[in-house]
Amino acid sequence: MWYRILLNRLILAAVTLLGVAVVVFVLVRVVPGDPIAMMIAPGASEADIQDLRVRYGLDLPIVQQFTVWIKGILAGDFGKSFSLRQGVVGLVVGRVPATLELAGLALAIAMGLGVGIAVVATLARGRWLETLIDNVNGLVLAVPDFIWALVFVLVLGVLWPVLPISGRVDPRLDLDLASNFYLAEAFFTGQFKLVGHLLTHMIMPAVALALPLAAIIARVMKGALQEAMLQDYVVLARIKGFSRLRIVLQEAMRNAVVPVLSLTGVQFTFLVGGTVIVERIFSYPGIGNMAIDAVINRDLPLIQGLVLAFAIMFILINLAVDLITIVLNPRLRHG
Amino acid sequence: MRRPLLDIEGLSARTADGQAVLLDVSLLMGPGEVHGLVGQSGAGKTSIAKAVLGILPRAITLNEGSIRFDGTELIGAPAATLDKLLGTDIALIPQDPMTALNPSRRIGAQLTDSLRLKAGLSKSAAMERARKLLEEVHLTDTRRILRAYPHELSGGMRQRVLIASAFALNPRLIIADEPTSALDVTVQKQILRLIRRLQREHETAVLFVTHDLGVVAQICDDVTVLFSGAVVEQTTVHHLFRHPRHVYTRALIASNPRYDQPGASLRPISDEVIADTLQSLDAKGAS
Ligand SMILES: Nc1ncnc2c1ncn2[C@@H]1O[C@H](COP(=O)(O)OP(=O)(O)OP(=O)(O)O)[C@@H](O)[C@H]1O
Ligand SMILES: [Mg+2]
Repeated sequence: MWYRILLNRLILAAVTLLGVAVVVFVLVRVVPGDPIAMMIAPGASEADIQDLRVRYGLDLPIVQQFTVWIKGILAGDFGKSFSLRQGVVGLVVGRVPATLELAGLALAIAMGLGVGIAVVATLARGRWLETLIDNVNGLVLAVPDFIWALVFVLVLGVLWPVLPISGRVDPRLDLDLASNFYLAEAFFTGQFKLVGHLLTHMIMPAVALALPLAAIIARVMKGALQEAMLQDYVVLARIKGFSRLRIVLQEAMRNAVVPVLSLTGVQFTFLVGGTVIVERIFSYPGIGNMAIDAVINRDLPLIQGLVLAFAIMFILINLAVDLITIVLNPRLRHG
Repeated sequence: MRRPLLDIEGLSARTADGQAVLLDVSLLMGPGEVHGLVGQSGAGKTSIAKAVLGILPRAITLNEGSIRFDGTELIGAPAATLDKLLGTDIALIPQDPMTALNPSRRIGAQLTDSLRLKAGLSKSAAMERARKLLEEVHLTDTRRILRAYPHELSGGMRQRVLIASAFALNPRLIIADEPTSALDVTVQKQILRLIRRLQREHETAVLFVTHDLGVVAQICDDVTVLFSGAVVEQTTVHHLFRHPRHVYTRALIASNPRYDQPGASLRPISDEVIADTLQSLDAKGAS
């Protein structure tokens, strides 16, 4: 059963990626702005420009450009960045870990906060604390991630400068790491001081990204938990004389997780999208920040590569959500 | 009667919009007795059961009365007192076995958590005890059932699991709220016999909620007939069927399939009887 779903998803993923490839390819060519003009010093001759245009294949008809690009991709070559003069694959792969770690940390924070708040609100059912949580939650729900980012920079970076506001590590630091997954590698090789250092850089952008998602998770989870609390089997657990906290965690949580999970998957893709601007605000060296530079520079191959990288991440997120849903639901697992 | 196990006295409850749910209900149960609670839909049977278990919905408030379990007042008791009694001394056999088990936890886990948390058994000891309990309710292939999820079992099997769970800690009082109404007829009979047998073996008192007088005749010692939240008759089962005193009880007996004459025709309760009963309740309330 579940491998049929997996196969289905893989086919769907291939179709989606092709669609994304076509759309982004066409889009970056119809929006105004000349990539060549960005690469060359002002006052270059018409002949020089034409030269470059031919060199990068931009003189060909768009359909032909597309087939050249796709053929390259199938051979593992996504082209060369106009502005950085390096292979797109190397650039993107080098930056993806930074974004993955930031988004992963943000997701962990969002889930921890969201679920924690939902549990507290469920236990506080009908008391002032529940009302307080609902109101604060509604407020947080209305504020987008980049506003939090700006507020954090202002408060914790400038007015009361306790946290670094830019980058992923202190550039003076001598890193003893083999991969670009700094946080994960530092953690698993036991360099906990470095983990702490990395976290001071990541905590503000991560929390900024996490808060809107945390608020959504909290709201939906609370609704699901309160509905689950009315289920016969939860009432029966109460009659067995178990504590409220145990009942929420053991009986209600599991069945409340499923609706929350599918929603979190969709919302997490928004969070990853949000890294573009939040990484920019914190000069964080991930693919979001790189994407903005690529757009400013009209760096067509790099934009295309980055958009595909985002698309692949979105597809993987949705796939993971589907798989987790199956694992959590015994009926699907055995079906 | 020996010292009462459950002593409900003058219990009154109403909904938020002022509608009476229970009117001055009193009820006594001795240890090991099976007490039937009968009445039409909406008579307040479930509300009494829920009041004892402390799970009345928010919409219903208790205004008056007391519920004492073995001398301990339950109304307004601290949560710790209730948590200690519930599950250990008082258990529930629920109405609908299809919804009373957690769909995402294995039967074994759901059956052993009381044994582990309340009786302090180790995981393996609890599992072994759970297996014995399943055998006691006549389930075979108990190891497989312990590993199964609820959706893998039939309604009758689930109800047996829930009965096993109710008896797990050898409670002194079990509340059974229409425990067979969601099952089909042949299974109903088996389940009733099972409850009766276990009740006798364990000497457990059972407050048995039903609207079926045939069931009352089959397993109860005493019976309380409720109408619209008030007790209209309270007597032994033996007495109830021989000398029904109240006009409503007589109508109720006539409206039920004759427990002693299977296939006898049904007679619905006439509006006249209902009006009479309401009037007599009003008279009682006024006096
Ligand atoms: N959650 C609730 N909110 C408001 N009123 C309720 C609620 N639950 C029950 N009632 C009211 O309380 C009264 C008694 O209901 P109860 O469930 O105790 O009856 P019952 O005898 O168990 O009926 P049934 O045979 O249908 O189970 C009814 O008039 C009902 O409308
Ligand atoms: Mg009922």
